[in-house]
Amino acid sequence: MADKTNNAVKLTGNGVAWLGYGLSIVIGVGLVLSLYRDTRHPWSNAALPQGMSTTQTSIAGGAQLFQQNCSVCHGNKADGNGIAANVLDPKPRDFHVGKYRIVTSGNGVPFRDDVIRTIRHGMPGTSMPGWLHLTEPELASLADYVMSVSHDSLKESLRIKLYSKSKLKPDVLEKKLNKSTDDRLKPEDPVQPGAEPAFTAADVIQARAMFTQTCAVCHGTDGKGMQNPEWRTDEGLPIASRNLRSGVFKGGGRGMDIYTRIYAGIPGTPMPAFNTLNNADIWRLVHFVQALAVPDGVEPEILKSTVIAQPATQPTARLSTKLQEVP
Amino acid sequence: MHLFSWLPESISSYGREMDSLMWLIYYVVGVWFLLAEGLVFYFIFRFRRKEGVPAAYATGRGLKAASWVIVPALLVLICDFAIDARGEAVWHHIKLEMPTPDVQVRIEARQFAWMFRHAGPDGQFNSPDDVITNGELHVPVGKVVRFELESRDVIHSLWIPNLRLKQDAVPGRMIPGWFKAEKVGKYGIGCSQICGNGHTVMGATLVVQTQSDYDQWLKK
Amino acid sequence: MSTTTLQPELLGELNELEPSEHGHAAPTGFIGKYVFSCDHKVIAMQYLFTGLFMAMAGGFLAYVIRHQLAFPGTKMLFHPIVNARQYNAISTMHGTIMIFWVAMPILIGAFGNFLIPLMIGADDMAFPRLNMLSYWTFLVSTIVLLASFFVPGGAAAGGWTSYPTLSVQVISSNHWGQVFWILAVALEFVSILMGGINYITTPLNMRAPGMKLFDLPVFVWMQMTATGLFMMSVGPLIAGAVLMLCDILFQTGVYMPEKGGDPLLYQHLFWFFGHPEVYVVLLPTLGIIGEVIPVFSRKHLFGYKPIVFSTIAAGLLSIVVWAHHQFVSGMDPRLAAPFSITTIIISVPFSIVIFSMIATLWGAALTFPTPMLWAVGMLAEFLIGGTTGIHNGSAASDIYVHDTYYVVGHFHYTLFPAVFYGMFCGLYYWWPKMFGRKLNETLGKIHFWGTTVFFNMTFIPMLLMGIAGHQRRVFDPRSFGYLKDMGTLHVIATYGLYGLWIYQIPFIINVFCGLFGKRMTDRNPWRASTMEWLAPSPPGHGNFEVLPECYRGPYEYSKPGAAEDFIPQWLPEETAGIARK
Repeated sequence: MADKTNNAVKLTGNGVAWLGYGLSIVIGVGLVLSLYRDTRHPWSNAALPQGMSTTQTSIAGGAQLFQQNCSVCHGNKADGNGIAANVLDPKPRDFHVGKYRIVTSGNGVPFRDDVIRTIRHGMPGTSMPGWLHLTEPELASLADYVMSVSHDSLKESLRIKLYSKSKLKPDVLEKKLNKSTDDRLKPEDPVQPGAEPAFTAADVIQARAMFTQTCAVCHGTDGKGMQNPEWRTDEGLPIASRNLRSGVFKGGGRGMDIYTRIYAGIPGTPMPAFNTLNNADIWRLVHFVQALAVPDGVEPEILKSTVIAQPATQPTARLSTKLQEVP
Repeated sequence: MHLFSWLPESISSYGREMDSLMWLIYYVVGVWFLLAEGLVFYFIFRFRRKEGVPAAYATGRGLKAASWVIVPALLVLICDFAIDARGEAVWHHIKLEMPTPDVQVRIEARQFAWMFRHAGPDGQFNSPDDVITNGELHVPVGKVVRFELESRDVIHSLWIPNLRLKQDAVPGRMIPGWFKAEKVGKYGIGCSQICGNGHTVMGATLVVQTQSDYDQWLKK
Repeated sequence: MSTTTLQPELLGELNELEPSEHGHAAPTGFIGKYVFSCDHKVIAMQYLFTGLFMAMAGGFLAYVIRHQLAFPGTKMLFHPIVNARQYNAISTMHGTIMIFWVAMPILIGAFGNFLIPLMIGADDMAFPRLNMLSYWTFLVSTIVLLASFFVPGGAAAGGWTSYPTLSVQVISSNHWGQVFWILAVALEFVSILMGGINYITTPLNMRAPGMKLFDLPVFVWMQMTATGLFMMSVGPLIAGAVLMLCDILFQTGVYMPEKGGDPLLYQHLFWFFGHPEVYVVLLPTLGIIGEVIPVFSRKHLFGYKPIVFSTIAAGLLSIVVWAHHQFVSGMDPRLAAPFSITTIIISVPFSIVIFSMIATLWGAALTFPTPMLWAVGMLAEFLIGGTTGIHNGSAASDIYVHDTYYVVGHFHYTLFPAVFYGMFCGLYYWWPKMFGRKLNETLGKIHFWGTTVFFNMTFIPMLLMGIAGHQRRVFDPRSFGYLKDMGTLHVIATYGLYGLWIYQIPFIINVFCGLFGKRMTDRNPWRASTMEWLAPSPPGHGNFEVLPECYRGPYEYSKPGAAEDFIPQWLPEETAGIARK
């Protein structure tokens, strides 16, 4: 009998204790949950502020995406100075300088599509990866954001350069500033490569001559690229000329891409725009450059003066650019 | 809901084998796990102290007593060998065999991007028909892809969850490997070895295409 | 022999001396007693509190990591927003601190130091001054490690494994942090090596009269195996670390391929040490629960000798499994098979140990005070860690799970029970001996249940994320398209960590209350039979009033025919009222 009561007391004692532990856990969970007050979850795409125009919305969304995906290299302020930048070569772009390398305009200013394309496909040979998993609107807002950074930066520098002593009313000044900035950032003279022509024997000889005369000055007669301590980008960083033998091109290795690079140049670098050359000449150079990419340890045949090209059967397919030794 | 319901869809030819190995291990250790936990909890509730009931005096001395733990341990050993045998076969298939490749890709890792050099129709690298991309790997569906993995600076690790493929890229080495993707689509690629401050953005996309789409893409 | 010039560190037969003949007089004054002390108990306390401090530091870093992962780029309490560089440094330091500055000092430095002499009936370690030097070297290493947060470029950020060539990449400006990391780790190893000499020499030479090797408590065996393992394996890593230092400072290029080196060399050197190291951490805890479970089961530890032998076997096996960390590292794939086999076979000795512990529970008279809760909790949680390890150990499935959160979950499920459950179990159990006061049971139980619930809440999501393909050490997972759905799991894990932290508060309160207040008079509150419970609580200088003799093995509980349900090791036959055998 005594035993039984003892047991009962023990059991209730245990029950109270368990209740206590359970309660303490519940209180703990409550405390933990109460720590999280922020209703905006950083994992979901945050709701953007209402009442803005589409462009502004796009820029704001792009800024958010930029912080998430790009700021590690390009920096929180898009100045190319992210914490991962120090190990990179070439350095990440400083969007305040606003010199976009891959453009399809003749005046060195990018179309919106140029920027989108570069973000989507990246720049081979650099640390800029392609962001294929982002959606088109996301890519577009990223482009809008970085272009707005360049725009604002240019506007501020114009304010200092042109209007620092002006006594215009603020709103008039702002209008003028916007106009002159927009004017400067208007891409013009888009590249028109046309249909890809065939690469004939006569073309090889011409192309080789042009290459040796012009391109070889920087890229070397063997196309391997060169170092020159005086070469600088517009950001003030040292730069070497592209090794054309590796087959790696920042803007892509398709015929059209290389055509565009020759036509539009690479803004911000010593690579000038050869937009005065005629269409056929550029295509000749394109084919010549493409033929320079050869397996390791082999000398490109096209550099030898005896080599001429076989007429291509499919003019648009650069893959059919076959080379043939003259007997 | 259990552990493996989180496994992403397998799209590689050897993904099924690897998944079945994971399931095998899952079941084998699952049984042992439940057995052991079950015993722990059963004993906890069964052998509470009761007034007047002394604990058993069991030292486990002598082979007969010790066999209570040694026999299960030997059973564990048998399970181990089963897992080892199956695992070795799968490992051999994935890492030691090299089927005749249909397509060649050279993958060059650098801080913090993946560069893919698709060899093109001639199957040779550094030739005019190479297609070089940053961050997008294009392969035809159902074809054996041989890759050569290289790194320019630090150790990276090619990680394609859907392909069940992981391989470190070590500077100074060229590490070959292969895979065969069996479903068209876009899949994520990541770097799974810490490679510096930008490790967190070192992603890429695997694009599995039909042969005709792939050829089209090569020519474009 | 003149006893006046006796140097304790020169004598093995100290235990034959009367306490008054202990090699030196008891120190007086605060500094002599509690700071520069050669007493193994004071050194143990120094290790313990340094380790607890570092555990708080490591736990704080875990909080920063988890906050960043669940709520990337948002403000947090107590710490500014981190960037990727700081995140890498923080996760590196979290791993380093938790393994080398929490697990090692607490489980080996503190418990080993405090308990080995007491358990074998000795008055101190074999080499007390070496012991003291060991602690002070450890303290220096701690300071060097903490200082590395403040050097230019911040702390090391190459992961706790510090794989080259990332860690020797001087350009990434983390090079001073890395140098400090190497120095701190090397100093820490030197410290544990010096301590280790004691942990092996003392039980071998200074056991109480009558105590045979197999009368040693299993805890002492585990300590000996662990330190032996540590001593055997640590050489290659120290060599590797010094070579790395040369690479960083003198550009020697041992690990740089462009200078003819090979980064894989370091991985082999690191893991040759690194894998035994996890057993160095695990074994003391198995020893602790091997002490606690018999006491609260009132049963003889089941299969004492099988446990001891399988521990040694597991230790030896662990030296030939290292390359299972490198299945996909680019080493020759043919090597995977042998390493995979040895790795999985290691489950056999450990299953013997675990099964023996479980078998001890059979037919027991179980009570569940806090230490026993932690011991059984450790057993239950560690089983999850052990079984998830098989996926990593089999080379083929490791291709998938390697370097994912599955691995993170797996090793937290082994190391958290091993380090924290083991530590709490030991602290609640031996606190009465250490400080002469009992820790509060209610607070202890709240601590246990809260910790267990939130520990699982933190790490189960990690296993799931790993299976979903989430790779480790990512600063902001949102950059990867295939990780877009991981947000919820990250948030759950982070809440789990918050809870884990909150439930350490009862423990902290408990510790502070347990340092002050009324002393207990009972020397043996748990009615345990091992030798340390004979000493006063806390033991004075020289430990025992009269150095004890040993009459039997350590686990004589509920022996039929005995007057009580336990027969202490120190009780002579006639007093115990039962004939031996």
